[in-house]
Amino acid sequence: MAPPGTSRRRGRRGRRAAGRCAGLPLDALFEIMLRLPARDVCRLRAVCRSWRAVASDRAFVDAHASRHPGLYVAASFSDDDGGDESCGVDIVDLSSGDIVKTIYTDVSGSRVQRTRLDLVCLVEGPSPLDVTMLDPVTGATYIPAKSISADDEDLLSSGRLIMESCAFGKVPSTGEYKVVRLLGSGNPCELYECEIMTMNSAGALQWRAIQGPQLPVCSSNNMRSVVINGVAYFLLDYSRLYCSNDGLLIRPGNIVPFDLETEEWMGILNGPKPVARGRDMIVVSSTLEIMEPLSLADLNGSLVMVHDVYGSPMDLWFLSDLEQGLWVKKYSIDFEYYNNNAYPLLLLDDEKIVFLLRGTNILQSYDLKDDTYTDILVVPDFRSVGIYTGDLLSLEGGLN
Amino acid sequence: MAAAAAEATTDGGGKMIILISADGKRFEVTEAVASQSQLISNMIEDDCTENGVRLPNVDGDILTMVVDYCNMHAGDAAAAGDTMKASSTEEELKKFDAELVQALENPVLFKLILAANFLNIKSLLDMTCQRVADMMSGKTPEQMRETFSIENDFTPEEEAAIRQENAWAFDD
Repeated sequence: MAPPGTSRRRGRRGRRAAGRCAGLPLDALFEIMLRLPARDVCRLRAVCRSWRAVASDRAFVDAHASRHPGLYVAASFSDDDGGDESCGVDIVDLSSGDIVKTIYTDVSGSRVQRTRLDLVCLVEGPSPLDVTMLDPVTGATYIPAKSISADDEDLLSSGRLIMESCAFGKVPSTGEYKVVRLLGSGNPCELYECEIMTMNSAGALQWRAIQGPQLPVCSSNNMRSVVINGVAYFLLDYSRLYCSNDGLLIRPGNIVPFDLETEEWMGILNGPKPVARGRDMIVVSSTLEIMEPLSLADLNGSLVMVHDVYGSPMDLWFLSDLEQGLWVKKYSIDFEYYNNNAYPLLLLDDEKIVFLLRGTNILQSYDLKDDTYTDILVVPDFRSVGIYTGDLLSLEGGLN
Repeated sequence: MAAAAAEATTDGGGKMIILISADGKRFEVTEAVASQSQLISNMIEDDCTENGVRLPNVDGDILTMVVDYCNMHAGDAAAAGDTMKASSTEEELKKFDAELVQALENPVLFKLILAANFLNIKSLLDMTCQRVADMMSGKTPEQMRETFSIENDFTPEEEAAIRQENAWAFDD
């Protein structure tokens, strides 16, 4: 048959195909599906081709995400039976406490970094240097080709090498993800090697050695580092006063910010002032007795220093101006129960704070107005919880 | 409220605008009524409503419903000053809205959604879409196809793959 005839026939067939589902015009379907929860939308994808096309379209997925800002946490689990489906990550809806998605991985014993991203970062796998990125939408994992940069490779043979601290975040201007980490030997008088890795849609994952901070940061870092808006903040290790370098003294609460885009350390940021004199002394003189009096948190995009000293109310200081180093104490929670026991994970509507309880692994919402608290869920490990900001409707995942 | 009322009086009841449907039906409405449509409100601001507003993708019967809806809801603002009147109006409006969407057959409801979307009348779009969303909520794909008379054009393998891809939405 002649080409024009073929094209005419193709055109007719196209219209007829659309007509099968056209009882409901696709423009209208778009608007209707925007008003349905993600679970319903995912089921609609199995109705017919044209419905799937709308429900999987990038423009729709984005519009749906901005209309339904979900609140999800990612938490790792590891069962002892050792089968194929024995470890992985659960995505949990905070509003209901329901597991909405489970992704099995083969990275056993790993911990979810406390990030706020559409990717999940797993550390502390089988090898202490392991860093694995997981896309909860596709279930794909991303690992660097080599566990260490070429410059630091000789350290592998030098004996004990541990990852003291690791931060994973996104560069707002480029959309790239970056991991910055500090490697050490465990010797408190040695400074660390610093490495960085860029993740984008092109290129293999590779660690690069860069200049590290001039002062030691807190290790066992999961409550002591946080990435906000492309800046990684590390709390300096105030217990290592004796280890200061070049005459610099670490004051409790000192922070070193690192710009993920320029890959430069941004000097020292002083913690909230005034630090109560008594508290200051407590922290300096008895670091061994007081477990975790200072920690860093990301509450609604603000850097928050948590002052949690035994016997005192928990103070939440919000950084209001990075350049000026201005802090504002927004909350002081006089609730003995929380002392040394809770980490603020999320701030909801300025009225509720979601706390992670260290001892019991419970995620709990605390109502600031009427001083009540509600359990949301129990996680396998309080150190292994991140906030997942991705959209479960998306088929492409965070990396695209 | 006071400002709107004052303007209406000085204009002698408000400026009128002509809406022209796809099939050439003409509707004369006040600016206050018409500007519930964000599209028309923008046109009023840009001063391009002089020769009537042609709506080539809205049929006359659908536009009749839209104009009824807007006439009914244009009272919202005016009545809000008077609490007694406002509450009774609110009740009337709810009743009117409920009857409007409940009574409609699906094809008409879908056309009304398209018109509300095109004219950008948020409250009408919300209401009509919510009505359909309620019909879809919690249904399986099979029930969905039945409700909306849709033919399944997937091969069994394709459908299985999609269900696999979206498995979390199916395991209740």
